[in-house]
Formats: sequence, C-alpha cells, structure tokens
Amino acid sequence: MRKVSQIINGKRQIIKKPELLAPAGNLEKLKVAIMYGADAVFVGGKEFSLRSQASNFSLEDIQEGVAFAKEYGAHIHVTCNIILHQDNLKGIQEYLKQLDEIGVTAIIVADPYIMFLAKSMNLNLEVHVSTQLSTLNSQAISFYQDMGMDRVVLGREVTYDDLKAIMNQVDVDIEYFIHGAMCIHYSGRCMLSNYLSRRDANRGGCSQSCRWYYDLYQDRELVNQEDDMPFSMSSKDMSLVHHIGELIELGVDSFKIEGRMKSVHYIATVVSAYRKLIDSYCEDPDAFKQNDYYEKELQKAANRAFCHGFFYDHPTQDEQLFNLRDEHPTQEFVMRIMDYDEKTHLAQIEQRNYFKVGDQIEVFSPHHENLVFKVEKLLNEDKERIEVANHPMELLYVEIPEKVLPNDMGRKVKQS
Amino acid sequence: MKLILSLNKKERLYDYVSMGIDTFVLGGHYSFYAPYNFSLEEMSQMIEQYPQCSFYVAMNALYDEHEIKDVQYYIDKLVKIGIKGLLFQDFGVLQIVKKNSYSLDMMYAPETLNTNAMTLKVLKQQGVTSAQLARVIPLEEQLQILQQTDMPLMLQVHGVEYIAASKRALLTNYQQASHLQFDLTSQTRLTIQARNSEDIFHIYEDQRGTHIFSQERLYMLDLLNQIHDFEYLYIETLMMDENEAVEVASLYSDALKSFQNNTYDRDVKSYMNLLYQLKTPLHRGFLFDQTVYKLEDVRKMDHEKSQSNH
Ligand code: SF4
Repeated sequence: MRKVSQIINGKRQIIKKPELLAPAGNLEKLKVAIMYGADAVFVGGKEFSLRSQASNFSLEDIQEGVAFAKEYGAHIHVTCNIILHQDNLKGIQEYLKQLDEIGVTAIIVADPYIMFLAKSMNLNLEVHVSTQLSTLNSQAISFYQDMGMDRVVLGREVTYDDLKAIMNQVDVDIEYFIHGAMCIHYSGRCMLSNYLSRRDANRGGCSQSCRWYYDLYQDRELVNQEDDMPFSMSSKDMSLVHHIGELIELGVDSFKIEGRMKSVHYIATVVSAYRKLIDSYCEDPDAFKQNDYYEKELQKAANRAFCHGFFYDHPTQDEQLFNLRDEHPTQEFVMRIMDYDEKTHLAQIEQRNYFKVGDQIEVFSPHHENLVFKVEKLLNEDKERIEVANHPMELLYVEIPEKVLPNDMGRKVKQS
Repeated sequence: MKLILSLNKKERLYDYVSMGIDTFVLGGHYSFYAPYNFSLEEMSQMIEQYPQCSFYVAMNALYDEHEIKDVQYYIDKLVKIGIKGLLFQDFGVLQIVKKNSYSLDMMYAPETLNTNAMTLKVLKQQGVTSAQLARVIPLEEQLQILQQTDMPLMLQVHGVEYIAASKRALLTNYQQASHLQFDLTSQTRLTIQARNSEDIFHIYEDQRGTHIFSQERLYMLDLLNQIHDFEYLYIETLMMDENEAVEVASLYSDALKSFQNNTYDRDVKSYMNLLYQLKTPLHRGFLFDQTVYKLEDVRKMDHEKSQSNH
C-alpha cells in the first residue's frame, strides 16, 4: 500500500500529489498547459512519434519547451511510441541522445528496441512504457520493470478494482488516463485503419476508422436497413472527474489527459479544471465535497459526451456514440488576454474566433474564478470603435469591468 | 520449413498427422481466439495419443489483473501435461514462465507488433524463443527480418487475418441501442462493411470481447520459393469448416513435399487451381502493399484518392 496521506496538525493531508500530465500539439499549447497548471506535458517529436497528424515538435521546439517548463518547475515528456518497421531503425540513438541533452524528463516508448537502447545508452531521461502496449496486469509491469523501465502507462481497459490491486503490488511509477478520447479496440492491436485506409495506426496514421459507419450483414443479408441506426464503434470520451479523489488515494503517480490534436482552448479548460480539482482535494481530502463545477467546466471544451470508460468494468451502450449528432461543437473560444489596463478597464486581446458587440463572454483563468461580461466596447488596434471581431489573431481592445490577467481566455457564452 | 496449424477439430487430428503435419496450436480456456477451445483433459489426451507431435497452446489474450493468478495456475497445468510452448502477446505470460523457470517455447505472437528484427533481438534476451511476424508488413520486410533474426520465426501463410479486438461487447451494445436482432456469437455469420469501403470483415463476440477478422483468406501457396526459410508456416483455421481446413492443410502439405522433391515449380499451378476450386475469398493482405507512415505520405494518398473520386 502506498503512503499517500498523513496527519499533520490533527488534519489528514495528502503528501503524495499525482503529477498532472497534459498533451500539447505545439509550443503555444505546451506553454498554455503549463501556465494552466500541468506538472508535465507530453509532446510528439517529428520522428518516432504517433499522431503524425498532430503538429509535431522539432528538436528546437522541444528545447524551447524544456526551457519554458523549467521556469515553472514542470517537465517535458516526448513520445517515441511508434512500432518500428525495418525502415524506421536508423537514427534512433542519435535522436535519443539529443533529447537527453536537451533535458527532456522522459520518453514514452512502445517498441522494446527503443526501451533497450535508451537504457543501454545510460541516459538521464526516464523511459515510460506507452499505453500502446496495453499493459493490464502486474506481471506485465514486472516484466517492464526488469527491463529497467521507470514508469508504465496502463491500458485504458484497467478497471478501478484492477488498478487498486496493481497499485498494491508494484513499486514502479504508474500513469493512468483520466480524460480524453479513447481507442475502442486494444491500443496497438487495432489494424482497422491499416486495412481500410492503408494508414498505419501503430505509426501515427490512424484514420479513426472505428468511428465510421458500417453496414452489418448476417449471412450476407443486410441487418441495418437505411432507416436503422448505423453500426459504429465509436467511444464517448472518458472523464474521471468524479473519481479523482479515489485515484489520488490509491497513490497513482501520474494522471494523464489525452489530446495532442486538441485546441489551445481545450488544453486550458481541461488542465485548469483538473488542476483546481486535484489541489482542492489534496488540501483537505476529508472535507472535500464533489460538486458539478468541474464537470461543467470540462463540458465547455468537450465535443463528445463523457463516459467512465472501464472504470466500473465493461462499458455499455451508454458509453458509445452511435450517431454523429451525439457530437456537438464546443463552447467557442474567442479571445486570449494579452494585457489589462486597470485604469481604463481595457484589455488587449488576441482574437481567436468571431464575436461581436453584445455577446456575453466568460473569462477563465488558472488564477481566479470565472467571470462573465457583456461586450459593450470593442476597439481595433488603433483604438477605433468596431462592432465585430472577425480576423483571427488580430490584436483588439475590449472593455472588461473586472480585472483580468495576461493569458486568461475568453469563450462565448451560449445564449439560450 | 514446417507447417503448423491451429486445430479446429480433435477428430481430424489423425488426418493432419497422416499428411505429415506434426505441430499444432490448440485453443484453450485463456485463448483470445481459436477455432476451438479444448479442455485440459482433451489436450492431455491428444498429447498422450500423439507423442510424436508438438502442441502449442494459444495464451494470446491480454489479461486483466483479476485473472492473472488463474492464468498462472493454468500455465502450470499446461506444463504438467507436456505442451511444447505458448503463443502469447501479454508480457505478463512471459514473466510468469520466466519466474517459474518453465521450459516452454515462448512464441511471441502479438498480431501487430513484430515488424522489425532489432526488437526481436532485444526480446530474445528477455526470454522470447520464437516469434510470429506481423501480417501488416510487406513480404520483402518479412524476409529482411528473417535474415537478420536468429530465432525461429513463424509466418501465417493461410487463413483469415486478425484485424482488431476490443474488450467491449460492441455487438451487444449495438443490439441494445438499435433494437435489431442478430446472432452475435457465431464466428462466421456476421460481417461488417464500412460505408465507403469494399472490404468486408467478420465480426463476433465472446466472453473476451469483440473480434474482427478479414473475410478473405490470406494465401501463400504459390510463394514457397520465397518463404521456404521460415521455420514455421502457419495455417489459421479459424472460421473454416472442417473440410476446408483439411483441404487447405493437404494442399500446403503436398506443396511442401513437392518443394522438397524439387517439383514445386512444375506443380504449383495445379495446387493453385485446387485452391481456387475451394471457392473461398482469397487475398494477399499486405504482402505486396505498404502502409504509409509520414504525414506527407498520408496527404499524398488522400489527395490521390480525392482526385480519383472526381
Ligand atoms: S481505428 Fe479507432 S480503435 Fe483503432 S487505432 Fe484508430 S482510433 Fe484506435
């Protein structure tokens, strides 16, 4: 049993806070994730990383990311989690050496050859076993431990009860997914995309073919006629927002948020919600009361309904999406605050999506409570009045009655 | 080069042995998938009855923590009845075997992951003694791996191909959501076809979850000249009826003999004609094809596809 809490001054306090690990598809997202409270960020390099469609990082980007993270006491993990084919074998050692020199904290690896190389090169960086290996039991974890691995990212199929049993038996770092999209098949073992689109899922090219619509036949007779629900294998997104306390009490070392291809708004919203939730629980675990605030926050950046994944055991039909209409647009991210003048109440903003005078905007921040204001005064860069903001990345001025801070974000409040 | 076959019916074992096949993969209680799941008793009887044969057991699932102790007991029983080895994909299985110093041939068969030689070299140091190559790489790469690896390798030469598996009951969930009626447990009755694709896949459900396989059978009957250096040529009899399995095994067994007698080049055409007469859907899988890796390749392919649609 891992020691997670102890009585300090008569009150039980959490002494082992989990790492909050966030995804980032580019430098802006990396910085936002850290500013909004991530302890560590995982990014994909241009080589040897899955998510070939996510805007992957060059070595220079990673270097800048590491330097930025250091300022905040945060860490950078780099995914090197492709399954190597014969023509991917060259250049790995050199790449690992460069990552180590840059000061990356860990690499996330799926191929045992990269595990072996990283360990035999005596690098400073940690080697984490990727979820692509679908590790579900303590014996498999012990195998990786014997190979010198520093952490194992568990498969998403691990239930709470199994996780509890694992945590009681192993003494290597354990990382567990708490939020994000899920593969519906065993990770690393799904070749749907390979067969249907010639895109290699194990080398980052997955075309998400599980989410397509399929006709179902029995003995060659069509089962789902035109008006019937199409067959699909699409999972709702996982969110363990209501179970964070239980996971902290188990001593899980790292809580992972999925989504390297997600927007900066998603990263900020999700990281911020979990940061506040974890901190609030750890501050006084016995007085902590679950409330809807965090889930409501998370929903503002979600385009799919949430589910618990395998937390309680087998996901049912309620954990799947059978209709595209079950996907909905997220609340619109419209501005990032660059500066605020307390005398004039004018905030300089970077416009991200269309908004206009009269819209209600909610500003959220890692540093203060959310606040809502109505756009009354909108100025262009030359401080002339305008009615609409419709040029992304344009610098504008908006009057905001309450004080906001640089890097706060604004999203349009849906009008009912 | 020898044939190895997943056994679909105990009663046909005699036929296979008469053809000269002496290595079999048996399905059992912990198999991920198998044409038939034999009890320990049945396995034991076969081992006693055919001492000249080698029997592997498919322990090829990914095991949850709550079942890993039972997996351990089961492996212990398998060792006691005298099986030759295990086909596995969960390193937990390998760890159990290593910790107990069982002397088993540990054939690493993770369906999708054995795609290069260096990884297999590393795994050899970790206790893997043989391996099945992934099917999603071209033959050329499979041959390269063969040249660069010093452990016995198995290549699937015939049968349906594994596509994906989920721990979820995807068909039950769909049935409940759609209220449609269908037989979700038969291995062969249901197929799915993506609405923008020609490919047809088998799909079925069991207590381990949902399994998807190709409908077409991979075949290499005419490729023995290229693949003869592989230690094991595997025939997957899943989803075959017993006659198809015996016919296919017999064709490959004859082809192997003919190869050894240097008459294969002359006979191969007639073997292929006999194979076509079985009228089962055949394909080459990825043997002469490639998947794409780099983003640029994906874009190029999507572009070509959209051009060809216009
Ligand atoms: S097709 Fe779906 S389940 Fe398969 S790898 Fe892609 S996202 Fe995962």
